[in-house]
Amino acid sequence: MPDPELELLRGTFDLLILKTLGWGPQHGLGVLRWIEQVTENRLQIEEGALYPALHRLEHRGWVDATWRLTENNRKAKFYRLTPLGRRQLTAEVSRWQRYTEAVGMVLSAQGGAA
Amino acid sequence: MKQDRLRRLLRLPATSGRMASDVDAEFRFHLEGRIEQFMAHGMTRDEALAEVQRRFGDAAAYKRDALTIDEAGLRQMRTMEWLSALRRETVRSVRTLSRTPSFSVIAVLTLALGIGASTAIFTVLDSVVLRPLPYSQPEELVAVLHPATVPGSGERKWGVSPGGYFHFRKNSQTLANLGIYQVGGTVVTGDREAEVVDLAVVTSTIFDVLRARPALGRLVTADDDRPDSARAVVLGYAYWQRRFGGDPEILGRRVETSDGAYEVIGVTEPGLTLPIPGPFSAAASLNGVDMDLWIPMKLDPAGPFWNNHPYVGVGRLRPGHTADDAQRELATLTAQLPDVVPNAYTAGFMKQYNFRAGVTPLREEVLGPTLPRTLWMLFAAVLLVMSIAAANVANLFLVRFEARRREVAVRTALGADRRHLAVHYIAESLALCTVACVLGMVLSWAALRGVIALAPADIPRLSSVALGPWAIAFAIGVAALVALVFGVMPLFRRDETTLTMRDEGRSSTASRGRRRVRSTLVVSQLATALVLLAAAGLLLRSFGRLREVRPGFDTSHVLAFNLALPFSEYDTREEALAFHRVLEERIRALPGVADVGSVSYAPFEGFGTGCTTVWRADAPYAPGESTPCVSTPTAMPGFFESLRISVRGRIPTWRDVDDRTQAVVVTAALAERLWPGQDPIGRGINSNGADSKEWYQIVGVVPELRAEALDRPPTEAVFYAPTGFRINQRTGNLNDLTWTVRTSGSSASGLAPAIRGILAELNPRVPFVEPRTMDQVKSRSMARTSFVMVLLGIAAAVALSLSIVGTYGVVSYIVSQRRAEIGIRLALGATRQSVSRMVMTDSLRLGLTGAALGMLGAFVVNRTLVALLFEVSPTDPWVLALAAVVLIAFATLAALLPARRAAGTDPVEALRG
Repeated sequence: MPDPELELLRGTFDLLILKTLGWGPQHGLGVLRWIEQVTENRLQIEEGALYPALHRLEHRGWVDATWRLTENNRKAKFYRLTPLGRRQLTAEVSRWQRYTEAVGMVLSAQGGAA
Repeated sequence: MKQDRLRRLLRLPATSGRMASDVDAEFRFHLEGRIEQFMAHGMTRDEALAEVQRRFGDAAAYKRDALTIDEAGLRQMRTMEWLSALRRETVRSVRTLSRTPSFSVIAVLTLALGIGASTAIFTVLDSVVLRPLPYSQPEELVAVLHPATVPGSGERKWGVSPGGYFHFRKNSQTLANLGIYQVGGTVVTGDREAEVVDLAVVTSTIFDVLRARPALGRLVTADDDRPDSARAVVLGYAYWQRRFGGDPEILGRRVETSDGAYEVIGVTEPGLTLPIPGPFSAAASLNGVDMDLWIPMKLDPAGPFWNNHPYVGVGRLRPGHTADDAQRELATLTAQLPDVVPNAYTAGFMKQYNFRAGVTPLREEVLGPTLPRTLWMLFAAVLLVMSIAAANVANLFLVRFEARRREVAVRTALGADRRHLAVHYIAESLALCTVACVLGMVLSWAALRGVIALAPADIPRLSSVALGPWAIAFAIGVAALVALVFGVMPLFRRDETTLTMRDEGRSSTASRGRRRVRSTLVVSQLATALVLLAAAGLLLRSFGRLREVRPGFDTSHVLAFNLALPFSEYDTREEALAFHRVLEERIRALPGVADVGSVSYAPFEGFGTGCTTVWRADAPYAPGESTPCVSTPTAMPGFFESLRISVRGRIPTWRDVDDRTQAVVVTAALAERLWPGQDPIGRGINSNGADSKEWYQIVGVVPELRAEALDRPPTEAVFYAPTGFRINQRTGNLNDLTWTVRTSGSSASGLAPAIRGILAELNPRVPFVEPRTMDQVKSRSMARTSFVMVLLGIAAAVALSLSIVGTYGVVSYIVSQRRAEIGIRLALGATRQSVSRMVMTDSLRLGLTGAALGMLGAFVVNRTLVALLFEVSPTDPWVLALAAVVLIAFATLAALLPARRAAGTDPVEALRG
């Protein structure tokens, strides 16, 4: 069950989507399931928000989309990372790491400054 | 990039309907997948549905968001595609255009000339005729004047008299208000250098008529405008800025002028000007004239009134009334004047002078009838030239299109749709038209510079003519229109493309049809060129005629300037004369000076604008005889010599002045009227009335004088000597004379600094006003004719060059079409000369047809020029013949190159190809 405390930080959703798609083309539901799986359901995401996000990424040219059949023979819209999107992912990941590192340094600092 | 395009092609075309159903399907897939997942975990379908919906949030809102993003993307993509197609096609078309340089150069030049000429004429039209008068609701403003027929001198427009003013104001129902004014000058003295300023003497009502507002203080009110009001002045905004540095404390201060001191009561709003209708100013201008000082006229409604008409009347129509209504009403009111103001107007006067009311829209009165009509005609002509030029280029485009039919057909067959082709053609014509537009603007800029350099001072606002935003918009508009028409035109011929794929596209009938179209275009071009050439020729001939007119004086080597003696220092005749004599002697002593004189107003500068009635001593006028009303300037000794005006008899000298001999000089034209066939010398004349005891004796006659303008009849005038008699303000005032100084061969304008120096030495408070040479004065008097002549010259030159280019184009085309035929002729033994003669004959035929049609056009159209012509008939056979000869000669010349090319055809190659 999702942890009600952990709402998604603004702007990180795109990163998660890009990262997920980094493993291979996936439809929307697949992206969501993957995130649930790896976070062990800790993130609280309103699922509908996924689609405007995906379409926006498509509009920016970071992902592109095609209709394909799933293993269960259903038609689904698959999103795939474009080369441009892959570059974006790398950049975003490194930015996120620098960000969390900096925040972590503050949070783990000892004692108070004068 | 390539892959992307491929994928896009394979996908169904994106439309917003399609996108909406895609989003629906995507959402459905998600929701159903989730429901199945939860049901697999043991929920009932309803439970699962509820849980899925809770988790998903507001599906409708998310759908909308997603769709909005998709649609924005779609729009952007389409724009990008269109732009990149345009860029691609532009590059491609520039490349193809540069591969056919002769086509491109001809097309660009033709369009540039057309755009340049029409933009230049449009600019002049816009700034001279189209812009509105600078007043609020200017269409309600009317000029109120009095047309009169001066016996022997023709139609005149006089101003309003004070008596008439009060009568009209009291009784007019059609005019909301009426103001009158007179424009003149005065000298502002005081602690700073004396300067001549423009002075408006106005009734308080004029500010209401013009809807003017003060920037400071108040404008002249009814209280300031009574005979007993204090001496008040309103400063013009620009003058307030210039002279007083925009001093906010100016109210209540005194301004010293040569006519006394005035208290400043206000400052006008910036840009307030007075309209100066045609008869009152050589420098008519829609912008009006800037005034430095505005002082109240202080007319006494109780009179007494005289028969004088010095005031411009401007009225504002009451809503719902037209100028015609006001004209009818004022005609009635004018007819009442002998009853209302009996001492100023007699029934005899009204009848003899055919004295009437003249109410016209102010705009018309300021512009005059001729100029707007001429400019519009010119603009129409240039637009015609422009459209023929455009049609010609369009034709070139079509020819090109024809040549590229296979290419186009292949592209069409390969799936290029109408829109792609449109992009291609638009890109191509856009590239051409952009270059043409820029070049055209440069051309029109150069042309305008030329027009302004020829600087006729009396064309309204010509000095402010410049390539403004409207003109640029006009040029771009024309270019864009042309580009669009050219770009779209070939699309309507698309149905032919399938045919082209089938046959070889070598239909000779089609090319014959095209040849006919092209020939028609060229002929109409030649015809228009002839009309314009003839018009320019007529004006040139008029101008020549004008220059041949002997005005009776010699303007070369004469410097003219005005002096304004302050009344505060030179109030009496003796004071003014004393200064005059000293100055005259000093100027005469300057090296290079031959003669010095002065006069109330110089020839071409004031004659004919006002008049004074004169009587002869020996015979009162018979009842049916017309009373002459003539110019009566005061001429100082030396004046006639300085302008080399020949005088039979003698010229009054300083001795006459000193002895008050009352000797006067008259012109032969006046003498002939008063004493037909008799010698006027020794007879008496005056301007004070038949029953006066004071008569002046005629001692000299000027046999020939045209001082009003070169195109006016010989001047009737009496030249009084400065005997101190003040006939009226115009003639008796020795404080404001125009000096004329003749040099012996050296440059006249070079004298100005020396004279300025003498003045500064004698009395620095006397301003040296407007030095000019009499040659300048003379050319200014011909300015209207020369201005229109230059504009017509430009238009004619453009039309002629375009028709040469057109003729060249069509003859070359014919030659290229007949290459095979020419080859055969040559092979069969025709000489090269006969071939080139054949081509020349083609061209000659075009020229002759164009000239013949143009003659007809000139016969009809050039009649509108009649008001501008002087002693030249609008159908002058010499001018028409010369224009035709020039046109045909150029048309034949244009064929020289193609003829040479035709003669140089290699028969073998021609037949093989």
